[in-house]
Amino acid sequence: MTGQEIMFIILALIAICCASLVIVLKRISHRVLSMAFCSFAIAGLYFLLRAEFLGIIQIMVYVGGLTVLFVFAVMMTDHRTTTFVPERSKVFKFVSFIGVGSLLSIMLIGILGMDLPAGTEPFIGTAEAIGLELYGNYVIAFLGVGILLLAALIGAIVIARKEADEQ
Amino acid sequence: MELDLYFSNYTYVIIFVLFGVALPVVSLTFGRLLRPKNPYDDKLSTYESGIKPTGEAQIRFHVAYYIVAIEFIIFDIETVFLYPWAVSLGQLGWVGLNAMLIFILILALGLGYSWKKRVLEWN
Repeated sequence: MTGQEIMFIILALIAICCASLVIVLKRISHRVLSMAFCSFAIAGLYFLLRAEFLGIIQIMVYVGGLTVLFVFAVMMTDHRTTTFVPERSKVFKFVSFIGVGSLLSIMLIGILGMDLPAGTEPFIGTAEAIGLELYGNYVIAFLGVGILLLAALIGAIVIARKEADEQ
Repeated sequence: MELDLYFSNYTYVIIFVLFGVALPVVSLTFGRLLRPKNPYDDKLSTYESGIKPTGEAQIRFHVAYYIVAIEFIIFDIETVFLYPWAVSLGQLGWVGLNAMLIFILILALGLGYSWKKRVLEWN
């Protein structure tokens, strides 16, 4: 086994364990911390795939930004009085199990069916290579991202202002 | 091989990560082993700048903080898109410049909306 494979297994295990802990842990702050560690492990996987720029972005946006957003959401909500979700019925559990299982199988079929070329060139994931692809071939998708961000911003303002008025 | 060089360079990163994980674990464990353990109520109470703590720590903050956090994330992502654009602009030419101008314009609409809706104001 090569060093890369060992690193992949370690990082994948950390990511899976932290993702499961997000569900298992009781305190919300512990869950947020576990999610941050999961994002860190996924950033490590990006570095392993030679996508250095994506890895740094993963740390910057997910570990730095989204975790702060979750902490803010925890600070904003009142979770002393509210208890955790009540026990669901057996039918609900069964239906959700089937839903998650079919989603997993669809994704597995998609991933296993992909025919990816084995890249051997070292600098496929630099910022320059990403920029040439993103603003050259995929410029429409890039502008679509802009519209998506605009929709997210306006939606957040509309919902949060409604909340503020109710308080 | 350049590829081997890429991965061998990350050996230093792994060493740094291991040091970063080991430092708090080792120092806290040694601290626990070395220090005398003598807890009493005053010592265990929450430190609040020297005065006696009043009220609870888990208060609800105003939702305005959340909008600022979301705006931070959105414009954080905008900055992220600027990096690969900046290093590849020389080869992209006018198409790349126009694409980024339209992108910034779209996000400026969002900023203008939040300005109009007075969410940037604090009172």
